[in-house]
Amino acid sequence: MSALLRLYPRAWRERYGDELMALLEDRQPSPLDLVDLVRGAFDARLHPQLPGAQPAKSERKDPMSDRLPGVTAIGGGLLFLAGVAMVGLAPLPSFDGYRETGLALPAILLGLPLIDVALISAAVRRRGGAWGRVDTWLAIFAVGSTAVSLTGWPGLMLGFLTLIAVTATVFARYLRNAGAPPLIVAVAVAATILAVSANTEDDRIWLMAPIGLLAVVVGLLSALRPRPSASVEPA
Amino acid sequence: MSADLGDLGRFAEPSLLILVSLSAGPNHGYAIMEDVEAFGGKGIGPGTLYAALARLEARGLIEALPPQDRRRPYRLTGLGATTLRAQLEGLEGFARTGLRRLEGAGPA
Repeated sequence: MSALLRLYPRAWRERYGDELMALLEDRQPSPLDLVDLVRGAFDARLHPQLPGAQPAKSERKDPMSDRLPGVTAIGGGLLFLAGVAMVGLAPLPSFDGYRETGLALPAILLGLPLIDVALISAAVRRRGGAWGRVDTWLAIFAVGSTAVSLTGWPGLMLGFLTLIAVTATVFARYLRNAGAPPLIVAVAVAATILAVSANTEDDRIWLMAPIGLLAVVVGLLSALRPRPSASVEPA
Repeated sequence: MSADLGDLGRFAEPSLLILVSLSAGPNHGYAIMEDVEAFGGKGIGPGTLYAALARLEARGLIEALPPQDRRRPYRLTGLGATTLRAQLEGLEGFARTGLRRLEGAGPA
């Protein structure tokens, strides 16, 4: 049983290990309990929620890790904007109406899931909780629809539309979680959905730009927001 | 002032059960599990129990007391009691509305 406890982080074991061992001596664990303990160990490693000085110290030691989702969202937004600019600034060929997209399409399609996963992670950290079911499914849809969109037509259209829907949901959830007024949330969602009208054959490609700009702004707000103290107020 | 349990994700329900258990008085992990199983009708696994206890403690809703023979009791804080009351009142209102509507609808 102590081998199973080694799956937990050291700080966690120092705080809860003794009492958990005592509990497991009182109650013979069932196979389901063992699975639950493994899940608990993963949770403790992914989301350390220990009270007291240890997590506060580790957060101070590595403030970048807390800002990583915001920085990643900025990176995803810039990558996405670079893709849009590559298409928008390319000359229109005369023989058909479509611009050569080249590397622009992969940049756009990889920028979106990067933005999505980063902002889901930022929202999870902001509320100090574990990844919920909706968070997990949104991340799976973001990555999955990117893979589908890279398979070519008609996967491109299906994957792109799903990505836009996921991105609009992610923006709305992040902004609502951050306490943004409903009007701001509605504008962000509308600006994201605008991207479905984009077209590479004319200047409508720029209708996709608000997504990248939003990701940069929201990423900046997330990365620069002041972090609350890890200490717990006495009741 | 009360805290919101909704943002605890999958730990919201076990956390509420733990708070209800501790509302009867301080208790340690094993006794909480037994109590929850008795009044809640379903058990909480040890991994889930300690993940929820850690979150509740970090939020100041419960506090640990000095260990007694390796078993550390926990008790509800003032904020924990207020939060539990708010949650239960919300559920009571929800249940009352549902029952009233059900009675109003009559048998199908």
